[in-house]
Amino acid sequence: MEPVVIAEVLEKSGKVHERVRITRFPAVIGRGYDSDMILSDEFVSAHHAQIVLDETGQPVIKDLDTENGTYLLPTMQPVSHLALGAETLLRLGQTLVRLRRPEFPVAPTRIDTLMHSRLTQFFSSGLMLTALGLLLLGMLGFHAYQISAQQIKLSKLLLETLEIAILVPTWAGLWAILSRVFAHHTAYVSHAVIAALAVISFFVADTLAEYYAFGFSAQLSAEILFHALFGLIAALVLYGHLRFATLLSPKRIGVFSGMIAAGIVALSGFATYVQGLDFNDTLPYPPELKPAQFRMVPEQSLDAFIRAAEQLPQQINPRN
Amino acid sequence: MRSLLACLLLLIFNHAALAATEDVFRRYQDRIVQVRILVAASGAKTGMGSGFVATPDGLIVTNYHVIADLVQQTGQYRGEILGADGKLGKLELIDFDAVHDLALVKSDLPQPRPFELHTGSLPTGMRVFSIGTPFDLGFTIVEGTYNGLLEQSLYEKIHFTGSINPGMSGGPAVLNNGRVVGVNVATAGNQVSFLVPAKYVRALLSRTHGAKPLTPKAAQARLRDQLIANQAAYMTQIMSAPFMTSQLGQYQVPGRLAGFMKCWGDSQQLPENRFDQATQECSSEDDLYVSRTQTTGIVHFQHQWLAGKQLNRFRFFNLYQAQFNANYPGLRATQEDVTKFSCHTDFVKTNGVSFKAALCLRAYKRLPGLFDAVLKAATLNENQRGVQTTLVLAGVSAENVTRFTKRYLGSFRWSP
Repeated sequence: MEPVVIAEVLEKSGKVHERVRITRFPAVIGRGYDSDMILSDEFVSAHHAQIVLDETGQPVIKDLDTENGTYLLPTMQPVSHLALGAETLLRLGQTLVRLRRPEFPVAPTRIDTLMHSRLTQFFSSGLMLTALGLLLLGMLGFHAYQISAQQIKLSKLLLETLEIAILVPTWAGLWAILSRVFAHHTAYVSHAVIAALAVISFFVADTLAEYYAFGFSAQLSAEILFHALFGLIAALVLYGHLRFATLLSPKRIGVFSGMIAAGIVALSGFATYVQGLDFNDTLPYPPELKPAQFRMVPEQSLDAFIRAAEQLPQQINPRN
Repeated sequence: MRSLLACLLLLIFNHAALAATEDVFRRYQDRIVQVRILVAASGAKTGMGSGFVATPDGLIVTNYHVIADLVQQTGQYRGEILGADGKLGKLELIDFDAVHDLALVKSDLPQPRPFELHTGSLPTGMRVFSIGTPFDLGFTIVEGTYNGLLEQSLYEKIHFTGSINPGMSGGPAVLNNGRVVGVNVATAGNQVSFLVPAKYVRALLSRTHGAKPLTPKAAQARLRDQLIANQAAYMTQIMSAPFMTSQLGQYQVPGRLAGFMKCWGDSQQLPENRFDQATQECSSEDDLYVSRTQTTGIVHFQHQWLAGKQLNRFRFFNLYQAQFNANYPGLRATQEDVTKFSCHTDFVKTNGVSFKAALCLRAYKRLPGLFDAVLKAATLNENQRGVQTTLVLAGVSAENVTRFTKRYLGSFRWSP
């Protein structure tokens, strides 16, 4: 059987830029247009290297006395005459060239978990998007109704609801564009489902933190709780969007999303801390008021409250 | 003939009146000075008022608020005296009564004859002449009327009907015979002005025999002692009797706590609102000047009753929470004057009333031992009605804050 050499030009990331199957020998690799494999690198000579068959019929690569030479990677050993194994990585000029034999084993086929998982079916379901959309509109409308203490005007209610609701399809659209660029599909429904879930989750987290702050009369731990929930939701949302918008591995996306979310939470916490250093005349007490049924800690007597308040002068930092 | 006689009499009367005013000014203007506060580094004028010679050895009376920068911003400012003859003299602070807004200063200028202080009472309607240097326009005299002592005031002040303008603070208000009945101190505009009664000048002079000029440290300490003593006195006065209460919805709430407090109320039932609202508010209204950036001494509280009969409990509590988060009436102070607030918050039950209460305190940086306090409390007995209260105490000791707060919250009652 005639020997075959697969010649690949690699990008710096290791991705294959070009692949040529060489079946006739000698074959020249160079910048010249009469070469069998043409390289667009000004550091490569017109006829830079040649693949020939030795006496045994095995392919051998030779440098053709070039100005910049041919080097074996990763050792950078200069090559004048080298027998090709199953895989040989070379540097010609500034170009990485990988030479493989047909018997070189390929990696196992990667399973497309995204395409086949039930979760993907959930996120790609139009029915699910419709249901979540209605839930979101209902939730926003109900919220607008609850925070109003005046006569309800339907038009005003609708306007306040739509102002927020319009963000969801817009956000999903932006992610769909990124998906098209990097993953060659839009996955608009999936991105819209993730966005709707995000808004619902943030709303639930905010409400939870408020009731916690009231129930336990605790401002600092309620803020910490809210930041933690916010970070978790942000990480999950980013993970979801990136799974549909890129071809990166789930592990890599998970690490990236976690780092970004942690960074956002840390920045937010730092900003709050820095703001707290500035002088102000605001009263730092938790202002949440809910029905008494949501109180989770016992009431104090007036004497106990006063006794605890008597410690306040010692807590004041005279330098603040 | 009769009308001619009437006109003639009117003319003579007016002429006599003008002549009296001119005469008063001519006889006493040489005993009036302008008090100037200058930036020490540049000599630029930053504040001014008036003053008058009150003793044979040349002690000059003015307002504390005119020279307060010399007490609070030591080293940054200096004072000088401009005599009626146009000569300038260096100012030295001898003593002050910050509570009644009086100060005694001295200069190296030649000493004219002093004013004498009036003793005894005066009939309402008596003619009084206020002298000073308004808006740095030179020495002027304003004729007005004595209208007695203010009612419902923590600190005695004379109500003077006449135009006291900025710059006249510290100048004397005198009778036709030149005796001082009061010291110009403030104006509310529209010819409503106020004087510090002469008796407080007499009291200040009587304890300042041959005193040497105050050092900055001694002045600060004196200011602190006066404010601490003053708050102790009016707090004792307020707490010496059970708190008066008034009814607000289903709640009994603290009412007018002392005669010097003014109270007012309001209610709101707008057709577009799904709730009713009523407020009661009381304030001492007499704040004390500490410095150009700080006042103190106020006792103020406000109760707000809310009833959301057309609101479910969650809608009502959204409204209730928004009101609880609202700001408190301003306490004037800057970062140089006070620390940030620290708060203690908890659920409290007393006399059958359940509260969420937050007591917040901040300390005075330059006057240790004094604090501003704000109490915010909201009742939680019902799901669609409640009362929120905001209490503000300015320049009070920590002990008085807690004592007063205990009495205050303990005055609330609820009947379902």
